[in-house]
Amino acid sequence: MTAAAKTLVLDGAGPEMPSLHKLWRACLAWDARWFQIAFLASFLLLGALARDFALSFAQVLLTFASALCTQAAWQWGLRLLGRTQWSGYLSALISSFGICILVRAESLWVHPLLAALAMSSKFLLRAGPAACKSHVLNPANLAAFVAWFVVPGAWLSPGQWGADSLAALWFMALGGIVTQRAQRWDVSLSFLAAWAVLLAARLWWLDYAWNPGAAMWLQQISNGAVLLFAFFMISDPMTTPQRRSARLVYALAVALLAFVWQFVWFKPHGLIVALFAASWLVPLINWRWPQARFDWAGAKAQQRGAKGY
Amino acid sequence: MRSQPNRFWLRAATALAGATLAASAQAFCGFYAGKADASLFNEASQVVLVRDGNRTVISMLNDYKGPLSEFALVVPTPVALQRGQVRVAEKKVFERLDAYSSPRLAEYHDNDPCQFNFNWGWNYYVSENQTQYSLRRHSPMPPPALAAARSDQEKSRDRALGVTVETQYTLDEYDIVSLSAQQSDGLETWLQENGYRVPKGASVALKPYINQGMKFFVAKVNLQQYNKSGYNTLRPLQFAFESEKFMLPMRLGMVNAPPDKPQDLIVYVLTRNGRVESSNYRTVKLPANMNLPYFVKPRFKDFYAAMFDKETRAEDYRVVFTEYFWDMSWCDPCVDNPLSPEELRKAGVFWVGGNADENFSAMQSSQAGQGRIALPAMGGGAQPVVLTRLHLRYTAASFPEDLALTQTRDRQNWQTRYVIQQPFSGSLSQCSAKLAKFNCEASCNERVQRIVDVRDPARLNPAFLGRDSQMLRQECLAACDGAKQRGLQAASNYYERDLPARLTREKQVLAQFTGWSISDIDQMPSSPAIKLGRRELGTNPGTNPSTSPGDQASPAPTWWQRLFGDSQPASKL
Repeated sequence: MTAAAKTLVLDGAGPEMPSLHKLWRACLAWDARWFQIAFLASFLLLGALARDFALSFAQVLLTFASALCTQAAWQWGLRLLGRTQWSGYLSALISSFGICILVRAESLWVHPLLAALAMSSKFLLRAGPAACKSHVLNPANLAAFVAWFVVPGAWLSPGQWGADSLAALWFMALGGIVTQRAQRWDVSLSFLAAWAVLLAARLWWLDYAWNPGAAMWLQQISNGAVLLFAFFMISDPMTTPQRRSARLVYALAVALLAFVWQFVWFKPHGLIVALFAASWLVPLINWRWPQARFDWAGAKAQQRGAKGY
Repeated sequence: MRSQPNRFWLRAATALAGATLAASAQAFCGFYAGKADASLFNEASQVVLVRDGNRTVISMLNDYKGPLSEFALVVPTPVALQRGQVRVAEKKVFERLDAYSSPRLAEYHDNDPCQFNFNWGWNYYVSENQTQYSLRRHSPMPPPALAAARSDQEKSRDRALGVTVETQYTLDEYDIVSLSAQQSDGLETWLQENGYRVPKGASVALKPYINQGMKFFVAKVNLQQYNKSGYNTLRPLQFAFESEKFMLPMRLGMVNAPPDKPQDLIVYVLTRNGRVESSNYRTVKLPANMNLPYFVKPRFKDFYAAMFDKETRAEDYRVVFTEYFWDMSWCDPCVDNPLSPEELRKAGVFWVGGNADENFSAMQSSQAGQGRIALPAMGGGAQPVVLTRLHLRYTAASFPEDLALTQTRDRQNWQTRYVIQQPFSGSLSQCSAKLAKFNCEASCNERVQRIVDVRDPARLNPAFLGRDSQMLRQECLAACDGAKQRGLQAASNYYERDLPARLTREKQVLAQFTGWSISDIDQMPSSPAIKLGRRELGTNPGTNPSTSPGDQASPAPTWWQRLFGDSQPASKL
């Protein structure tokens, strides 16, 4: 639990605070994705306003429209029980934010196309043992990978965040709450720790002096793209192994693969590519080391038949 | 406007309908009026980086000003460069790229606000196909836009220092060595023992490059050859190699640099497809397309330097600025002509003109430059070359890492262009005098007579039917008087209201982007004289056929050999 949460809970024990405590408990009862949406929206705003992202309002609008429509079309087309509930659409919103933050394009058609593709992949690419069958790829990760790999007029802009340590702290604090709510803080932290150690080890091995070595490390680790990846992409409970031990190893493997891709083979976008490649193994891991499936909306929604789309 | 855009618009004319052309032609009615080139920035290093796939050609222009005997260039390279991979390039390539991509000032001119639109009686006649004669409207204002072989003794010393000399030769005015090293302090000692003036403590900075498996390209000036050459400045060195690494080892230049002293670096990246940006620093576009006060024209360089300085300080020297990104087959407005295919090839663009291999062979032949190859005509088919001009102002503290680059798929042309709108050089009193000269009486008599002369009432504009000449004359005189009043009013609005308001806005913009105070701006000499800023074209740079003769005997030349030819070093290892 983050420092902020602790403070609130402790304060809640005072005579004046029961209502605040209640409010906090009520907040904790919400679907964690509402938090994610609020945070991702603030990142998008931060990027658009303070980091002049090359993104137009029309692209944002089309992304959301396309993602929501695609989600609706699949839910109604497959006559899923959860089609009239918020749950499925929340994921569409989150994926839309992710696509807007990550992908850059010179035309208007790229973003909606990627959004439609990403949302459809949730219904088409499903695998794993019956107890925890779910989509294979994180939609935003798929969209970013496809944008880099194949789509004409589209690209990723890993340097867009710059290296602002204040922004990094902001990300950490918010991301921490969200992932804690989503029960996947372990993946985020183990990935970040592995990534930080790998980057530091490289600089140490290359024998950089403390200056500029420390500044280089800080610049590499505090990059907005790394933090966004750690807290909002690899931490997706639907596309990470269900058993904690497997999950931790998975996070380390993704970090290692990304490191090799980027610093040994000198290829771009290591994190996106590594997660894309590793995601295909998750159903196998879940099959080999089974555990009950995570459900965003909790047991209640599960009873209603929302299948975690 | 220069010849290139004109040709562009002519092409557009054949493809588009007339109406569309008219709209397009107005998109740029101004012409190039000034530029802020690289000479503006003291100690600006310039690099031309050509990249396609893993193939890389880097040209480095140093602004070294000290004694030539002390000059030393040490560049980490991913591979040990062999003889054919290096050549001495021409400084002109940099000058041309700089001139073509410089920030530019576009100039527009206000129309005379003192318009006398007296159309009365003009459309009196209706033709059979209903086409009416009418006065042509005045075109609207343009939119405000915005060595010697090594002895055995030396070899043994090299081994002791952990340094392997891969190749060593003299190339024109440079003594060049390609080497690999095992230890950085050994390398530093080697460099010093062999007469390279490297700063003390360089080994600390060299170490990470050695550990990365990188090799070193080392050059110093061969004074004998230099004196023979007749050049008075050091020419750029250009080398070609293949590597996955798309980066510039700029950190090495920061050895012993004060941590907070800013340095400028301009990188011209030439690629086949998209805009290039940094993958480890933020890349942002400079503010552009603002309207500036007309009197900034002679001080455009000052404006640009002040604005760049303000922007870089605001970003704490942590940002890479894009100054230009454009498809090199055209420009609008053109500060200088796009580079010719020959110039591009000298810059290292090996794919220009279609089949790269054929072009390289042609460059090696004695017939080079005679136009034997079907190169794309300038302004004709789009050349697959795009230029990204990046401008960094960095300090040792703000850029802790080497500059890593990535190619995007962005093909949207963009430039640092600024606009001045020259006011019309007139006054309200001049307008008044001009209007007073017009003789309404005489003009009306003539117009009324034309109407009266129409015999077929069916051909007469219905508006004039059933009026006698006296009535028509009175109507005409009233219209003439009204036109004079409107003209005077328009001039009054322009000179007394719109123009001062526009200047105030433009001064505020100038103050905002440069940090200059309004009072300082007010004290700038206003320039009422309106002069055309058109620059005459120099000699066509594309007609210089000087290319080095190639080594045609080589059975399977590498791509860089085909590009550079055999540069015939004066002495061999």
